[in-house]
Amino acid sequence: MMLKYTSKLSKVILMALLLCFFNASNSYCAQQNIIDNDFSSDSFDDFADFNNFNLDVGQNLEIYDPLEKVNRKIYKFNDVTDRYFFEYIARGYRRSIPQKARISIRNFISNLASPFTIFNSILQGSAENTMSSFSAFLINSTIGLLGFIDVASAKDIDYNKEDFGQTLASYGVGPGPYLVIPFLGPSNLRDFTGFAARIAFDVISIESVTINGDNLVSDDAFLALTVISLIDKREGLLNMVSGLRENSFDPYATARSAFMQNRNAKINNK
Amino acid sequence: MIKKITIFTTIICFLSFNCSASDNIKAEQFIDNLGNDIIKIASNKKISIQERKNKIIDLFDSAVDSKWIARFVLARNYRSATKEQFTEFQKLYRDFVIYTYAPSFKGYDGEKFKIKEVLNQGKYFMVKCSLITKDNPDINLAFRLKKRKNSDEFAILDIIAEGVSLIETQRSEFNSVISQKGLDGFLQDMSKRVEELRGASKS
Repeated sequence: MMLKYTSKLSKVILMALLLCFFNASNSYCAQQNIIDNDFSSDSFDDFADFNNFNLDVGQNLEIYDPLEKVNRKIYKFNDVTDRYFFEYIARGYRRSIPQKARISIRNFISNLASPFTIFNSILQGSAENTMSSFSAFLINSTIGLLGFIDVASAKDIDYNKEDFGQTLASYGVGPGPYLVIPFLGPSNLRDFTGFAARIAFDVISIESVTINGDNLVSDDAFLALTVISLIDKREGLLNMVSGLRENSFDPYATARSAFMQNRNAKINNK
Repeated sequence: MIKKITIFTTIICFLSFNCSASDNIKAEQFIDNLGNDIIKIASNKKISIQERKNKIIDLFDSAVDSKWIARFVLARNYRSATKEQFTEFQKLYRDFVIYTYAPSFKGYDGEKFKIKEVLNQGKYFMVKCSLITKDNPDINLAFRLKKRKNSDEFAILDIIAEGVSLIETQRSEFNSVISQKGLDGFLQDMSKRVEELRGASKS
């Protein structure tokens, strides 16, 4: 049983890696041509070091978005479905559940995802993050009452959350084209591939943990957890998304830039 | 002779180290003082909201190099812009930032910030802080500073929250709009928005 899933998982990861390596080499070449170097011949003393500033920020590469037309359409679709459905639910969740309970739920979800961070830290060869995420998982799952209380971070045991997208990036895989995923929002080929691998990881881990032939986590419980974690995620983004809608002249471009910068920061653990 | 060179090099090394170290401390103090000033103004219930707003705006003008930022966010469009267009943009940009973010000081809720480290990056300084909120996880904030020309004063160039740089995001956003509507079209949009924000701030 275990073996069957392990071989399935390795196939999924191999496919993802191949896809991303192919795509990374393409996008890297494309990005090299569109570096924004417009300040190079500037005579202003004050602005002479703009290039250095850009390189220093490390985010001066324009975002590779060959599917912009389609992405913008999906963005609009997501925006409408969000306003009338997901945002509505998230606001209801914020109104009806007290903040303290919401924090506990978030801690619980985050603790459940720790094995995923541990697995990715191992894949990235980061001993420090593996150890700290493992310690946090042990402490929170026991003293932290199944993860509802984040004892570890109160004790200054901090770790960076890691996912497959970050692992692929640590192997040198580029982001590839920017994508907007229906219902889910901003992504890119590398991170979306990582996201698909994450789903496979979750399904496989749940199927493999069995007691007397029965799954420890039932399908219904898994579904409920997925729904709650999506609502929690959207609730956490409520202020940011309404700020984006109110203040941006082009919310699509703002979301795209903020997403890519935030991913870069996570990859570089800044 | 060798001895003299050694002494000279040691003094130079010491001086340069000393200089950058003291600049780092000054950069830290600058952000520390600014943060305290903002908190003092935002939580001062003795003066009217309008007075508080005006004080925050004065602080903004003295601490932020909005001309530098206006130039940065226009990126390649700065080249094709006329002097008049740039001057108008610079003015609108300042007002846009002030009227967009000033209202958020009204909701000041006892957040505190802690300076974690200061990095010296050539001409720039990065002051890394964490914003401590009451119930939510801490937010990673960083300020990018530079020394003003021919002076010992610092100026803010950028605010980076959770790895997302404000000016980098605005650069991406503004250039996307300019490529669709042209610079004049964007300036019209911006001036309309500033008017709306100004109206909302008065009411």
